[in-house]
Order: sequence, then C-alpha cells, then structure tokens
Amino acid sequence: MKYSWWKILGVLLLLYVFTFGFLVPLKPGIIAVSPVSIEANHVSNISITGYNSNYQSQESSLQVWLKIDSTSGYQATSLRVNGERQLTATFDIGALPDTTEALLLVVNAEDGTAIRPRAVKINSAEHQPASVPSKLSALPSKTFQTKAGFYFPYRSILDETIRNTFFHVALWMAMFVLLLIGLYHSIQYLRTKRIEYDIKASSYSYAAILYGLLGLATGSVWARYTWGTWWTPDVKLNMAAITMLIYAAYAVLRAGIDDIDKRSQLSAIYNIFAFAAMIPLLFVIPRLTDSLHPGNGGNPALGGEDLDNTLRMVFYPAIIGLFLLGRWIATLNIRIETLRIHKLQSDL
Amino acid sequence: MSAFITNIIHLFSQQLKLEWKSPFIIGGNLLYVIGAVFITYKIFNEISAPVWVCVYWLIFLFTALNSTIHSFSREQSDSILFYYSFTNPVVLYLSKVTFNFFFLMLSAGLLFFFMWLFLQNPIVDDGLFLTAMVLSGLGFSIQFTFVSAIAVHTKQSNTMTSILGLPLIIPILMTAVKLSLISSEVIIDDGSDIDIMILSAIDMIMFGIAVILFPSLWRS
Amino acid sequence: MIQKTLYILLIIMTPVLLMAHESADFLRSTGKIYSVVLAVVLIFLGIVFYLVRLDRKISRLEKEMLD
Repeated sequence: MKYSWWKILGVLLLLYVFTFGFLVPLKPGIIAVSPVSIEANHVSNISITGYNSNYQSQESSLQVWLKIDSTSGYQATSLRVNGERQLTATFDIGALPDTTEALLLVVNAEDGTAIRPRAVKINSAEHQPASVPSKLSALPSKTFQTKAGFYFPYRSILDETIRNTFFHVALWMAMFVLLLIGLYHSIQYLRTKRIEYDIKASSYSYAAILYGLLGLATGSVWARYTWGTWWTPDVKLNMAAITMLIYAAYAVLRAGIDDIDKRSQLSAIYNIFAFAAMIPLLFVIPRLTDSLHPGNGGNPALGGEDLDNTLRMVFYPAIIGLFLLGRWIATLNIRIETLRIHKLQSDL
Repeated sequence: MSAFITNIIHLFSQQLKLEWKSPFIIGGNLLYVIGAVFITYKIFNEISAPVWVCVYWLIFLFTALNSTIHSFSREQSDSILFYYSFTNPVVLYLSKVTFNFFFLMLSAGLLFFFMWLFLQNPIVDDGLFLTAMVLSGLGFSIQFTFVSAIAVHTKQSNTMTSILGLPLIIPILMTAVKLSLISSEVIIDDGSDIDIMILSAIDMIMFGIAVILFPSLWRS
Repeated sequence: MIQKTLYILLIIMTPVLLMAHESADFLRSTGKIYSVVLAVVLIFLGIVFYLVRLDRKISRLEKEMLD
C-alpha cells in the first residue's frame, strides 16, 4: 500500500479527467449556417443553428453581426427566433468592393459571444447600381465577451471533439514521457550492464508502444469526424506513425535475438540511436507540411490559441494520470520479466 | 591523431582491394541501378519532375540499403574478422562509413547518369541537388552502417537491417526529397538554406551518437 | 485461451465498428460527442488487450513455476 500511492493517484486523476472531461459543457457556438454564400447589394436571410445557446430566453439582448474586417461589420436588421437553437437573421448588405468571407457573431447577455469564422461568403456585386443602402457600421467595443463560468471553448469544426484533447493528445504526451524513461534505462543499462535496467527499458518502451498505437487509433477517429478522412497530413499524426515504426523495429529486434545479454546490449544501443534519429523529425516534418500544404498544416491541438485555461485544468491531470497508468502497466511487465529471469537463474 | 587517420586510410584501402578482388557487390549494385532505371523508364515512358525526384530517391534508398547491408556480415566467415578484433572500433566504423559513402556516391552518380539517359533531367539547380545528394548520402551511410552492425548479431541480418534502418532514415529522406523538389523548381521555397542546415545537423548528430555507441556495440 | 479472448474482443468490437461504418451520422450527432466516446472505447479496448496479454504471460510463468 505504501508503494502504490501513485497508482491510486493515477486512477483518481483519470476519474477526474473522465468526469470533468465529459460533464463540463461547451460554450455556446454556431453549428450550422445556411446559406453559406450570399450576394452583396441584396437583403439576405441567413438561418443560424446554435449549439448550447439560449436564443429564445435571451431574445431581448440578442445581436447578430457579420464582421467584414477588424473594426466594422453589418448588424442584422431583424431577427426571427425559432426556439433556443434556431434563428433567422436578415442583413441589408450594400455594395462591397471585394468578395469577403465574413465572420459571424451572435451575442446575447447569457451566452456571451459565439463566433463562426469564415461563416458566410459575401460575393461582391460591384457593377450593379447600389439598390440597398449600406448599413456598414463599427462594431461595439464590448462585442467580444465570454460566457462566465466553467466551460470548454467551442471551436467550429471540432465541436464536442475538443474533449479528445484529454484522451488523444494526453495519450501522446504520456507516451513521450514513457519513451524518455525507457531511454534513460537504456543508457543506464549500457553504463552498468545490469539486467534489471534492460527489463525496465523494454517494459517502458512496450507500454509506450501500446500508448502510441492507441494514440494513432484515436487520432484516426478524431480526424475522420472532424476533417473527414482517417488519415491527414497533420504533423503530429505522422510523427506518431514514424515513432511507432521505429519502436516496432525495436520490438522486432528484441524478438530476433535469443541470447539475453546480447539482446539487452543491442536493444539498448538501438533505443538510444533511434531516439537520436527521431529528434530531427521535430524540425523536419513541420517545415515539410508547411511548404507542401500551404495553410493546411493541420489543426494543432496544442497551439496557444486552442488550449485555454479550462482545457488545461483537465489536460494536464490527464497527462499525469495516463502516464501513471502507463507506469503501472510497465511495472506489471517488469515484475513478470524479473520473475522469469530469477527463475532462469535458479534453474541453471 | 595522424596514426588514427593512417589507420582509417589503411583499412579503407584494404577494403577497396577486397572489393576489387571480388567485384560481385559493385557489379551487382551497378546492375541493380541500371535495372531499376530501365524498369522505371518502361513503366512511365515520360515522367514528370516530382515523379522523377521520388523515383530517384527510392532507387537511391534501396541502392544504399543493398550496398551497406553487407558491411559487416561478409567478414563474419572471413579471417579478417580476427584482424578487426585488434583494431580500434571507431577506426573500423569510420573506415566502413567512408567506404560506404564513396561507394554510395559512385552509385548515385551512375543512377543520375542513367536517369538522365532514359528519363531526362528535371534538375535546374545542380548545386543544391548535389548538396542534398552528398549530405543525405553521408547520413545514409552513417545510419545504415551502424544499423547493419547491430543487425549482424541477429538471425536474419539482411531483413533486420531494412527493418531497423528504414524508419530511422525518414527524416533525412524527406528533407532530401524536399531539397530536390526545390532544385527542380516543383516547389518554390527560399528556405532551402535551413533545410541544408537541418540535413547537416542530422548527419552530425547521428555521426556523434554512432561514434559514441559503436565501441560498446562492437565489443558485444 | 487466445481464441476465447479473440472472440470476446470481436463481440465487443462489432457494435463499435458497425456504429462507425453504418451510421456515421449517429457519431456526428450532438456535436460529434460520440466520436469522443469511440476514442475512449478504443483506449479502453487497447488496455484490455494489454491486460489479456499480461494474463497469458503470467499463466505461462505459473505453469513453468509449478512444473
């Protein structure tokens, strides 16, 4: 009991992650807009479907804006609310010099501001005579306000899958910590030649492989329901795939040598060498995706903008919890392998 | 220090003599390059610049693999293994890397020549392409030589070299392909200096790690 | 033992896979929350898979010890 406090801590942290990770609601957002393309110089109706929103009960303070540039936008001239999640906004949009992808803002006292970037494309109608007077006006300074209380941020394509940060991304971070521990034990093995370091190194690496495979699987599912494909050129997904290839090779190498001392020695050497070969990936792959897929470098879940404080309050415990679980898995393996070695030695 | 370098040169020339006596490997690799290029030519007939670059690097990769795979295994049965056991492992490793590097550059030159002959030459910036080729050839020989030294100790050393080596080579290969795409003006990117720096940094890191680890690998 | 665990895994996996393939719309409903559930289920299955492997390792060791 004295030595398993960290197991209990890990389980409690994971319990906290599962509870809060699933129960904390998202901030209000805009889930769908139609039509997505309107003509300038027309009066247009746009129907908006909200998410976790309170349109009906907050109808008195409801404002809808189409933001054109950093300071100005069109306010909806009339609103028709059809329930808490549905509303139709009417915009009088005058002639526009350029075709613009406008940002949609829905504001009310309860929900704060819901934002949908590039929500509506306004096609410029430059050559037509101005039939609709332009209602372009400056945005009020307190348009951007956030809903008070503990909520996860709403991101337009991610929706609820932002919760995957706690499971998928944290898994990946925990994997990296396990790999580092495996590397440390490999170095220790080369220095001391003691078999327990080899057992530790391999067990931590195997636990990391398990996490890596799960990370790939969950990443694939996440990609499927946000970006529409099972596999994307996303930086981190491909990094994880290469890491898995390297550590699968490590497992194959260990399986390919019968002599225990030789196996320990060679796998420790390969582990260090492979880790050194993996580090450049951190610099190589981002440059590659940036240049080959401009503006398409994936959707990094750890960007400063994406990870806000509410997410952090669950994300960091998730990393620690998953790491402790991985350590538990690794220790079980270590104990089994140690027993086996003892048995081999006593047989001789 | 000078004794160190003399030793390397001595081993290097010895290996050269050994290859010269049984030119099986060199001839085999030459044939491999010609065969691969000719098959590519028959499959594609005409080839666009990006495909040219990809095919070039694929053949290059497997030529490197083929030629370095035997770095250590061939000596296993030889009496020369006995001789090697008296030499400094770092000297041994350096001589092997140097030999593999020169051999790889030779193969790469031939590959380029035959690709040119059969499938034209989309490379515009020759200097950049040559830099990418030399730096990645160096990286390939550093990594594959090291990995083949690991794989010698396993049961199926040839398969093991590919399994262990291919994932490690990905960063170098990707950077090299990107530099070649820039040099053939498929993609426009003025950041090629940084890529060259990354490639040299990878080579240096891998070289350092390999030299540190090789003695303990060779002793086992 | 292996077959049994494989069957059990298959039985658990089937509804998940069916869900994933046949009614992708279900997974997309309610702000795609069910794709998060699917991810968590995958993690759970992975850990169960590892437990099964560990179980088999221990059984083998036990058998060797007793012999």
